[in-house]
Amino acid sequence: MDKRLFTLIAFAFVLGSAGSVFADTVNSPSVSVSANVQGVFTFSINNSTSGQSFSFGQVNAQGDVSPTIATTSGVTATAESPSAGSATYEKLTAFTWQVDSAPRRTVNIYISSASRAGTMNIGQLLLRMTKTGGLPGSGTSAGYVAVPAAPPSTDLISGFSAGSGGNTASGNIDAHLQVLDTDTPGTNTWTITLTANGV
Amino acid sequence: MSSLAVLAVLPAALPAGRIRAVRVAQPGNAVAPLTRYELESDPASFGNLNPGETRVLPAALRVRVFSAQPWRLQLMPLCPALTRFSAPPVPVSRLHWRSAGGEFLPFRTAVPALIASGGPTGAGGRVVDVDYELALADTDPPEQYRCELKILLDDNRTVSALSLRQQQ
Repeated sequence: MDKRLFTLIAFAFVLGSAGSVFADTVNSPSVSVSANVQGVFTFSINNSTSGQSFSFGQVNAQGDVSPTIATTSGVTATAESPSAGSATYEKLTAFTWQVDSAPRRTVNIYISSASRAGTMNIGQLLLRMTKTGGLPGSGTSAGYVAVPAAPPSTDLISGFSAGSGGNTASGNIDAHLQVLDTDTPGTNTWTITLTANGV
Repeated sequence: MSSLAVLAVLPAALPAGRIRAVRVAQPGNAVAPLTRYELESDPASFGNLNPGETRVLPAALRVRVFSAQPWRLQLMPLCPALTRFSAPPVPVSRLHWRSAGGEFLPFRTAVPALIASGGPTGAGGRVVDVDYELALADTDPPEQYRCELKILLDDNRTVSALSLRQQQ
């Protein structure tokens, strides 16, 4: 009687031992696999995220261009013909721009704020953005857009894909200034903020 | 009668006395030897990285296997995706593994990946190092990526399945 009871208890003990093997392993250190994936969205002008400037120099309604400006800045001028009531000044690639995005996004760029110190009409300055490699569909630009008195403007450029590394989007900003013979002589300065929006 | 009295005391000595009894009794036991593993690596983190980036963590997982018979070590992702909040979710296949200098292979949800196998390890065990690689597409969204993995150690007799808890 005593011996049978001894056997039964010993068997139960072995089972308990087997269970404790797994309990011992559960106490091992745990490991994890994780990553903090961050986003990047950088819109830069002239490879900078701070303010950039460009000057047309001295202009007039006759379309005169200072030899210094014409040769060093590439400003071209066209006088209205046949009457000399206005002239336009244009600077191709007044600035360069770049959008670096991760993840890849579809981007549009517009004028989000604008102000003008001086006497000329704010809309006498127009900007055009071109994209290297072209835009979806056709062309490289949406054309010139007048700086609005009440931003935001229509998109200067839109619908293109911007990524990072080799997929970074870039291009140029052309500037166009219209000068009227009714404009008051003086200094005019436009301060414009361009905003890139990625979705 | 005195023997019976001694055995009756044993259950009351648990749990400390129970663990010690296992290790003492095991060598003389006719039952097949224990197969087990120990984790020797810290939690693996790729840190901060950007969509489109690929990063490798050498020896991100180190497991020491102890076995007196042939064994297999497998890793099985439990997470349905690496992300939880983005739509569409980033698939587990962005996470790759390799061991013993092989090529990186993608993980798949709920599919065990055979990491290593071998014969009896000896008393010191056998160390298995696993490299992780995270290869992000440039469309992958920013988020805290994570996945829970399960280690499956199979010694042809038993399967020891332990869930590795995922941490942020």
